[in-house]
Amino acid sequence: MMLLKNAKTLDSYLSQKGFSSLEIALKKKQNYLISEVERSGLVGRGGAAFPTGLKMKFTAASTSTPKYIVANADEGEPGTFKDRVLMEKNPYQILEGMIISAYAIGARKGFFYIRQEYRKLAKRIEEIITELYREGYLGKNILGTRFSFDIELVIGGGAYICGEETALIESIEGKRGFPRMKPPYPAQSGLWNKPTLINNVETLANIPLIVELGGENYRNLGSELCPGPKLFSVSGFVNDAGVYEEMLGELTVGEIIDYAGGVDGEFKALMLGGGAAGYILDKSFLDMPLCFYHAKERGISLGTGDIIVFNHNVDLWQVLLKISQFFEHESCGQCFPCRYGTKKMREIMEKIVSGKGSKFDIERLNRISRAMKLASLCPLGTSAPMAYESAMEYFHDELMEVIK
Amino acid sequence: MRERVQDIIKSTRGKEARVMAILHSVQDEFGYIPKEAMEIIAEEIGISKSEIYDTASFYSFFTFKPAKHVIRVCNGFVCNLKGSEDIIKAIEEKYGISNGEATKDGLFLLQVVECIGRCEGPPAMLVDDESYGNLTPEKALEILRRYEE
Repeated sequence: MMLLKNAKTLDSYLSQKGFSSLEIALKKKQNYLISEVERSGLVGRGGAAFPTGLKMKFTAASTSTPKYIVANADEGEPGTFKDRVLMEKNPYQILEGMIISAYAIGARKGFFYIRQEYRKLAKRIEEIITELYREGYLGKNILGTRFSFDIELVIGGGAYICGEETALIESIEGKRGFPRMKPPYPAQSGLWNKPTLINNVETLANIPLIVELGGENYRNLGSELCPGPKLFSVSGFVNDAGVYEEMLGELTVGEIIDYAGGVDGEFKALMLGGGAAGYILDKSFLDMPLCFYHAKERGISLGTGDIIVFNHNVDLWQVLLKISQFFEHESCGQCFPCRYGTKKMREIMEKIVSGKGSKFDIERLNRISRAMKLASLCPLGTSAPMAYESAMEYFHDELMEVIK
Repeated sequence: MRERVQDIIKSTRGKEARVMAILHSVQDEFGYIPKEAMEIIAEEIGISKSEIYDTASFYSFFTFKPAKHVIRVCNGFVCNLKGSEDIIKAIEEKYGISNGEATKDGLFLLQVVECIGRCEGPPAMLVDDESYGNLTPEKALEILRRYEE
């Protein structure tokens, strides 16, 4: 295991070569580190799969100071719990990655933003941060170098939208989590309008690996098209739900379901791509390799890497209704297409589930979905219709059975 | 109240993400966010009352009703598929409260929430900061009984 190591204490982390990457990194030039990350092919693990090295390069290139770095631990997609398990098992590697990244982009202050639902874990992270100050890995003159860096822990308030990077920035600033218009991107103008690098915690945990192995060697891990280890949250109707670490591209969707103990019942459908903001897919996807590239090629996205399995008893309209309730509840209300669209979708789904759905309702759902995708301000609104649209693509006949 | 809130504000000195930190500490201290506390925070850190309320009211974990323990039952769709609605119903019936309501004695506040990230053991709930998984209605009520003491 490269990510899900069991290293809950500093001693056990150090005995597994912990912080040796930081020592190496602090002796290297900042540009060198960024180009190693670029060479590694690492893409963000929080859902958007944006090249991490490029993001670092943009933030480093911004001339405005101070610069900030944010670790995004506001994991909120239903069915996604890999960041939690990673923080429980191997928290130091995330922080080491954060310190190295801060050094590489020239940040002196970082924020670790963790969701309120993980508050017990947040207390542990806070203890670890204090411990790292004591041991010289944080604070002034880290490991005797000229580099100084501070981390402040921030606990969220139970708002899904704050996983979106600009909403998260607003939350750290003490405001409601309203996403900002992009551009400008956080790399140019983030926290307090200063250049800010925001990375998912799993992404950060990959940074020490890249420093240790070198970008080129990291790139050779997994498949040619998408390198590196990845965590997958597998849940729903499987016999052994949990988080599984695999090299990207090495397993298929079906194989990882087998790893998770196989289907509990008879396989019907799966959801993949980032919780509620994912796709409902049929068995034709079971042979797809778990890789960002292959997912994109088939018109979907791997997202956060979560797989939710539905068995023969699951009513897809019921699932879609639940998802629409989720988005209505979590829509921040700032932009009209999302605020109104999520509400309308939920109302129509309710009508359909109660057995009163008509063809006209389906037309309305399709129209609302199009409008939300075109006009919503942030990814919450544009991804809310994805489950419905993909279900319609792969389970059209079944869904239409109850439509009059 | 003023002194307690002032102490909280003092303890967050040096933090840059100050508003969230203060609100969390106030929630912990009083079991909710009292109106008076928001007024004191506004005064002390030099922002308007409406700004504090604007932030506090946005986040579902800040509550405006006093309660000793907050029960948050996950109704995200993984838990929902595995019977979270039976858990909610059992709690509602036992304590005579529904989503967003507190018991008369202020012991429990019930919130039905979206995914709490315990999808490997659905259905799940949080009581304050503690999480419980693989629930049945009986198991959930048994856990809550322990908080009554």
